[in-house]
Amino acid sequence: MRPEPRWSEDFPVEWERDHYITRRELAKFLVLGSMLLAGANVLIRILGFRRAKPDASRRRIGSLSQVPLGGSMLFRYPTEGDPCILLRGEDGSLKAYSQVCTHLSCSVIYKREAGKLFCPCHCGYFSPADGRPTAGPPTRPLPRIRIERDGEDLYATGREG
Amino acid sequence: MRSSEQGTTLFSAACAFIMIVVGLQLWLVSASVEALLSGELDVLGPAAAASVILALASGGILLHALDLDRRRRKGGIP
Repeated sequence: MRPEPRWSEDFPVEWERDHYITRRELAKFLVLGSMLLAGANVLIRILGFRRAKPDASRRRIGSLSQVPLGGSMLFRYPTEGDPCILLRGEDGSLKAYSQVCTHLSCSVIYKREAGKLFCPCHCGYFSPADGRPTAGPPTRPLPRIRIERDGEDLYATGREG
Repeated sequence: MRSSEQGTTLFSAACAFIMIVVGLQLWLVSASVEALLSGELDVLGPAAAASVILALASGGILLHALDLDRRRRKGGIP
């Protein structure tokens, strides 16, 4: 057995004791973690208040001539921080959805050749008919934007979901 | 049961309970983040309230276990 070096007499470090964690300490550590997790949940609630849905009032978003048949147009509603996409079917029908993917908030685009809304981040697909997810990781439908047509003008009048 | 074994059992039980509580809170945090990102803000309040209640419960269990252990050491509990 090797003799103890002299420095260990001057600076004794009890490694085994240092690494020994009692059940009591573990319980205290877990309670600290529990408090931090509760704090995180409260913080998320506060962030939720800050992201509360703004008043979705009627607002002009463009004119019909901007959207070709079978094409799409991007707009922002109800605030400048909420990107949306308007789709015009081959039959002239108008549908609009939030452009924010319900998986991880990437922007969805309209793939005209596939006739589907597509999220390029994780290859998620949504139906342009009702915004429901059809393939990929998203599980929730895209929030729908109500659209009204007044002559050539297009108005967003509310958000659903 | 010897006194030291009583203490070990007491804190083992407290740790097991608190671990379950922490697991539930982790699930609540992940569900809340997902709800926040998807705009489902209605669930955030109940989730935060449940998490705070669970944290208080785990703190209460720890304080109770410490109190029992203190009394056991003094000989108040046979």
